[in-house]
Order: sequence, then structure tokens, then C-alpha cells
Amino acid sequence: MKMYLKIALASCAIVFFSCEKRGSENTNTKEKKDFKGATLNILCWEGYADEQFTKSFEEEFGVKVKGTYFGSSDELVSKLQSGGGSSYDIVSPSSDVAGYLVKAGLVDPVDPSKISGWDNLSPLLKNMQDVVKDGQVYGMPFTWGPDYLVYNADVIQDEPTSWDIFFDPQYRGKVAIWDDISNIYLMGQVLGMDKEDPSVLYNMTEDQLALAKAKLIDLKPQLRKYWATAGELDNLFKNGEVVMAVGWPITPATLNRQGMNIKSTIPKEGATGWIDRLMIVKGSENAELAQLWLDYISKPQNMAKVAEVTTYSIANPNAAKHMSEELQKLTYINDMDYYHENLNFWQPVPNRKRYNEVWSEVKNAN
Amino acid sequence: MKEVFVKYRLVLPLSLWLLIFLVLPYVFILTQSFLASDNFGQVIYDFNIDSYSKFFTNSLYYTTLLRTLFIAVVVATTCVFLSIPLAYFIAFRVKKYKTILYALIVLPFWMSYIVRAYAWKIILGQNGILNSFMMYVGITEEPLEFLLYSNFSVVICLVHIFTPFVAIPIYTAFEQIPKALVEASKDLGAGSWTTLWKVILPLGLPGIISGGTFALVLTMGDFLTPVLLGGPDTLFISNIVQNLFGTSNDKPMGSAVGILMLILILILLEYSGHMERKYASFKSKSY
Amino acid sequence: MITQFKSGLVPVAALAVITFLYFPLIIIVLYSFNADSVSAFPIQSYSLGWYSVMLQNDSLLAAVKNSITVAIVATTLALIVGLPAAYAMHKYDFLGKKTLERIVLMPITLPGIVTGVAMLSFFPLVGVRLSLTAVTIGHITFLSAIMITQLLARFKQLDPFLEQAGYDLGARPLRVFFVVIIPNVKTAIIGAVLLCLVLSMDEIPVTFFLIARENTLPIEIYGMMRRGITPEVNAISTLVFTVSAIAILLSIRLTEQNQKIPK
Repeated sequence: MKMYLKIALASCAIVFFSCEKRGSENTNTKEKKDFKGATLNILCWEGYADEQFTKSFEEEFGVKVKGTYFGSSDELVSKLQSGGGSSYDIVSPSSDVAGYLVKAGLVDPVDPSKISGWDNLSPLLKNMQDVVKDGQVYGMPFTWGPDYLVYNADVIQDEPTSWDIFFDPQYRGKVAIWDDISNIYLMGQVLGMDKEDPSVLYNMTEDQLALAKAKLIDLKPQLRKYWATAGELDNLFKNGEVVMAVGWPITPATLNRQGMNIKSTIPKEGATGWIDRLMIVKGSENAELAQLWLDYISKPQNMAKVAEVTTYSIANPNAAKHMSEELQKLTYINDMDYYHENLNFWQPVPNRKRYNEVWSEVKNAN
Repeated sequence: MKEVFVKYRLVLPLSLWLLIFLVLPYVFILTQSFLASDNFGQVIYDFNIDSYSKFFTNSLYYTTLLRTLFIAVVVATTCVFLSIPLAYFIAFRVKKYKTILYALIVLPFWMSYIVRAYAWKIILGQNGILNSFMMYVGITEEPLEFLLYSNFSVVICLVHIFTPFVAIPIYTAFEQIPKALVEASKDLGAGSWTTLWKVILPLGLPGIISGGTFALVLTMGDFLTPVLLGGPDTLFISNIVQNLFGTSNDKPMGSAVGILMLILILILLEYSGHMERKYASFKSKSY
Repeated sequence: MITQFKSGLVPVAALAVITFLYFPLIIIVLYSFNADSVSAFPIQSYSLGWYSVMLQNDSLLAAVKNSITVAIVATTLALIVGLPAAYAMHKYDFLGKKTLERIVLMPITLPGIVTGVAMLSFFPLVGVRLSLTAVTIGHITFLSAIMITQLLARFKQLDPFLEQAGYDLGARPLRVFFVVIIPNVKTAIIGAVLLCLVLSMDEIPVTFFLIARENTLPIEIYGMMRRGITPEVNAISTLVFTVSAIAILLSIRLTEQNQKIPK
């Protein structure tokens, strides 16, 4: 009897599977209602598919928006290389790998004429040439922000002015850094390598890499954990495991909403930053829906919601009128040059493999 | 004549399945380990042995392998030490509720791996159950930090996960020892310890070896516990493989590390199988 | 006096080990009823709150559904592929039998991570994109190994005369298989099926590499742990534990019953 039940269940499952497939096949037509039942899959950094701004899109088109989060730029590249096109429709690469995705043919061009907010997007971001190929644009500027020093202001009362505070014995075992090669850039900054030429951080010589590596190894006794996702960092703060970290604006935003007193600062050595774009994956089954998402999210009121969730700076300055004064200040929306003057934005790393290896070597060192 | 076709027809689906979905993938990563990749991890079809030479020249790879092996030995030994009294107790001391007690060791064997790692995380954390308990009772005043995000927490969790894997073969081996032999040893005036040391352990050795090997091999292949419970110093060889196929995206290198890991594990399995047989034959000779 | 102490030591040690094995499980169950979101000692008040939070977590529920689907489909196919093969491996000698026996054991003995990355590298080449389908194929592969080892053990205990009697009565092999063999190993099959279902529900190393955008339950829990501790994990774990414990106890009982029948 039980066996029959199981076989029955199994056949139900098979039917269910095939139904699902059929659902995603007929999304190529143009009428609004024809998207009904489709799922738009976004492979993105945390917070870029929050229901606060996906809800009304879902309702408008009768679709589902599903975000899958990745934890590092290389993870994104690796997922796309192993046949991501059939799994994801939209990705949100940062400035270090966006150009590569275009060059490697992993993404399709976007159509600016179908993006209503396009004309208002920050010209500075729009005019960057790394995602332009043969006169076609492959990405829509979305957000940007810093990898700065995030600290628990209840424990550290005075605003830190230098990354040196990471090495302060007082905070031994209370520091967290991201599990990512960007730590090498950071140590380059701490060592003052980018004083003359910002791009040095992304093209270090073996000697410079050795210096950065030694500095990171010095830091190890101070560290509690390498965080892999912003959510993990939030928890490390919440559980009192750490009092300061390298982090993104989404961490203070999330934690302060929960009543904590988390502050952030760009120390005097500087901080690196990233510019994220939205791109349409090559061979996406829902390319048209993806284009509609770009249009939707480029609109000021929706961009404002992105800012609210993440407190990242957003690409459409017109969103300011939908944001509180405090949020405008936090995201520098009225002073778009601020971050550009104060951050060293990620660039493609020609020797990325070696950077990754050095980062593993740091983790391996005792 | 007909039966010939029947038997091949019976094994054909399985053979084909395993060929396509198991053997070929293994052959493929063996091939891939001799290829190259560009800076963004795109595999280039260019035959070379760079990945292997890198493994043996860059200390990152071979020291990580050795350190993982060391931790695996610690985990396996601890598991064996915990399993012996448990198996001994159930095999020789318990008469009435044997099945229930046996089910008691088998049950956590099936308890979800991820849930157990999760349990240790909430037990050992800074504000976790153990720390808050110790502070509540007054054993410590400050939370102990070494408990979580350290090699300590990784070892505890792995020992917890793998002990049932070790206890079951040891128990099975103990069960096979004729009770009369144990009685005889006691009748001849040997104490419990002597009996354990001179009779039970040597006869149970095949079970101990096979259980210990289980724990050793499983630890070497584990990559989630180090990620979830490990600290800045925790890096297993499997984490390197995992990273090379994910965040650091260098598949040929990852394949090479995976293949070398496989070779080491096959040697370990072969050796332990050999040892098991050796001590098993000693056992059959002795009576 | 001294001997008494010595013999008392063993039960104490055994009890300590059992406590160690069960302590985390008890913690999970206990804290699933904790009203607070911080898992600290002592529990201030109890509630079913996390169970209702769990029921509202759509992606968690979707993951449960995915896991159940994968487990059922993979187990069914592993049975279809494994049962006849196990029977043939028990009954006949054939070319490449030794090799097949070794290969079957590979997914059990070799580390899952290597199998996982091998499948990850190879599957896209044969048109299997990373998805729940790929996960299911991966599961079938290692479940068929479990299925075969379990069933082979049972076939070995079968009374050879029983089968012979079938042939003597003029039945054809296929009929003997379905009328004589299957009913005699029925409980072993059910036991193996339950085992496979539980193993599939908990599989991580292979699944981890083959998953795309839809998660199975363990991977979803892993993701939740990486994003932060959410006590609804306690609730879902308690449920999963209860269900798998029942399945396993049932499977043990069936195998026991099974051993009694031929006598």
C-alpha cells in the first residue's frame, strides 16, 4: 500500500516538473499578460532582489521575482561559466568583472531606449566605457558604494580615523573581514601603495603582493571570522562576536533598523569602492521580462526603495524626491561626486588567479 | 543462451547510468586537471602539468593537505576513544535492552548533518548556550571565545557527526567475539582491563581500523563544517577544492587538488583494508 | 571495591558518550520552543512562535518541497535501476562484474566533494544544466550504490532452494523474480527505500555543486546559517529529525522482521 502511495506521489512529482517547464517556455511573446506565471531569476549581491521593490513588479506583470545571492565576484563568473544562461536572467556584476562578462560573451546588450529612467541616470556612470562593445551598451548602472570601516559605536566611541585600529591589541579577536581578494586591495591602501596611481591596487607586482600578504597575516590574530555574506556579518555584530569590520552600507542600515548603534567611516588611508550594474544574461529565457525589470527599477520611485533597503548610492539622482532627508545624506545622492573623490573603485585585476591564490595563502598561514 | 541476454539486460541500465554520470565525470576531471585556465577561470584546452607542479611547490596546497590529514587523525582517534566504551558496554554488559541501545547509536547517524553543525554553532557561540550557561552558573565571568570559530569547534562538531560511523563497525566487531572467550579470560583471573586490553581490543581491531578509517576519510572530504564553524586559521583541503570551483574559480587547479586528494584517500583505504584483513586472519587463526 | 569501581566506569563512560551524541539534538528540539530569538541559557519562556515563522518562510517551504520531490524521484529511479542489477550481481557471473562492483562502491567510499565537482564539470557537457534535474541525477547515482549494497546483502541471505523450486515448477526467470524473489525481499526493499529517502533528503556535498537557483532543504538551511542564525532552523530541524527518526526506526524494524521470516 505504502509503495503504491509512493509511486503515485512520484508520478505527481514528474507531472509537476514537466508543468513547470512548460510554464517557462512560452514567455517570448510581447503582451503583458503573457508573462503570467513566469519567474524572473536574478543572480545578485544581497539586497538587490528585496521584496520591498520586487512586490509591485510581481503584481504588475503577474510574475515572480526570485533573487539568488552570490558572495564574491568570482562566484558570479563561475556560475555564469557553468551554464548560467539557462538558470538566471539578470546579474549584478561589480566593476571588477563587468567588462569580462561582456568580453567573454556571457551577457547580452541592453536596450537603453526601453529604459525610461536611462536619460536621468548619472552621466558619470553611464559614460563608463568598460561595458560598451561595438557601440552597444551591456549594462545599466545601478548602485555604487564603499568597502569601508563599519564599527559598533557602543564599544568604540570615537570615530576611527585609520585602518590601524584593526591592529589595536585591545580589539584582538573582535575584527571581521570579508572572505574575498578585496582584502589585498585594502592592505595595499593601508601600505599607501595607491597614493600616486589608484590602479596599482589591481595590478600589484609579486613584491607588492608579498607585502600585502604579510600585512594580512599580521592581522590574523585580530580576526574572529572571515564573513562570506552581509547577513553573516550582521550576525557577527549582533551576537557580539565582532566590534568592527570591513563592510558595506547595508550592514549599518540593517542593524540600525534593529536598534543597534553601528557607524561607518572612510579612514584616512582611503577605502575601495564598487560600481554595480544590472546585465541581462546571454540566452536568458526571459530576456524581455528582464528588459522590463531594468525599465522598472530605473524609475526614481523604485530606485529610492533600493536605496532604502541597502543605503547604497543609486544611479538615478531623481530618486532623491522619494527619499527622506537622512537617506539622501547617507547615500550622497545630492553630492554624486563625493564617493568618486573618496573611493578607489574596483578595476579588473589582470592577474586575478594569483590574487585568489595569495588570499588562500593568507588563510593557510599560521 | 537466453540467460546470457537476461543477465546483461539486468545490469545494462545501471552500467550505462554509472558510465555516463559517474565514470565519465571522473575521467573528465582527470583530463581537466591537465588543462589550463585564463585569469577569469575559463578553461583553455592546452595540455600541461602546471597544476600538479604548483601543488607540490606552493606550500599553500601541500601544507593544507598535511594539516587536514593531521586534524583528520585527531578526529578519528577521538571518535575511536569515544566509541570503544560505548561498543564495549552494549556488546558485553547489556543483555536486555540491546536492540534499543543499538538503535540509540544508530539514530544520530541519520540525524541531518547540517542541523548538527547548526546545533554546535548555537551551543558554542559567544552568546551561545554553553557560554551563557557557564556565566549563569558562575563558572566563568566572561564568555570563552575559543569555543566557536576555531579548530576546536570544527573538531568537536566532526567528532560528534562521525562517532556513530565509528561506533557501529566497532560494535559489530565486538559482537562477533565469542562471549566464551571473554568469560574464559575472566575465569583465568584476568581483570576487566586486562581482558579488554589483551582479548577484546586485539580481536576487535578490524572494526576499530575500519571505523577509524571512516572518520579519517570523511573528515578529509568535509568542507562545510570548516566554513560554518571554523575561524581565520581553519582551511581544509576540501575548502581549497570548493573555492577553486567557486570563489577562486580555477577548475584545472581544483581538479588536480581533487585528484590528488582522491589518490591519497584510495591509498588510505587500501592500506586500512590490508590491515583489517591482516588482523582478521590473526583472529581466525587464534581459535 | 576497586573492581566495582572499574566495572562502574564503563557504563558511566558509555552514558557520557551517549549524552554527548544526544545533547545537540536535545538542544535543537528544546530551543525550537524558545520564545526568544537569542539562543541563550536559560530559556525564559516557551512558545510555538518559530513554527509559525517557519510556516511563513516561503523559500524554506519551497526547499522542503524540492527536497521531497528530489528524494522521491531519485529513490524510485535508483530502485528501478538498482534492483535488477543487484539481482544479476547476486545470481550471475558476467564479464566486468568485478569492475562493476568496484564502480558501484565509488560514490559511497570516495569523498562527495570530488564526485560533486566532477559532476559539476561534466554535466553541462552532456546537456544537463545545473538545476534540480542535475541534483536528482547526482542523487540517483549514489542512491543506486546504497540500494545495491543493501539489496545484495539481503539476496545473499535468500534461500537458494526457494528460487530453484520456482524454476522446477516451470516458471520463467522473470516470473520467478517477481513471484518468488520480490515478495521475499519486500521488506528489505522498503527498508532500503526509506534509507535512500532519508539520505537524499540530507545530501549536501554533491547537491552543493549541482544546485542552481532552487535549493534543497539542507542547502537552504546552509544558506540561512551563512546569512545568520534564524531560530526557525530549530523548528524545521526538529520536524526533519522526527520524520527521519520515524523512517529509520521503521526501516530497522522491517529489516529485523525480515530476518525472522525465513526461519
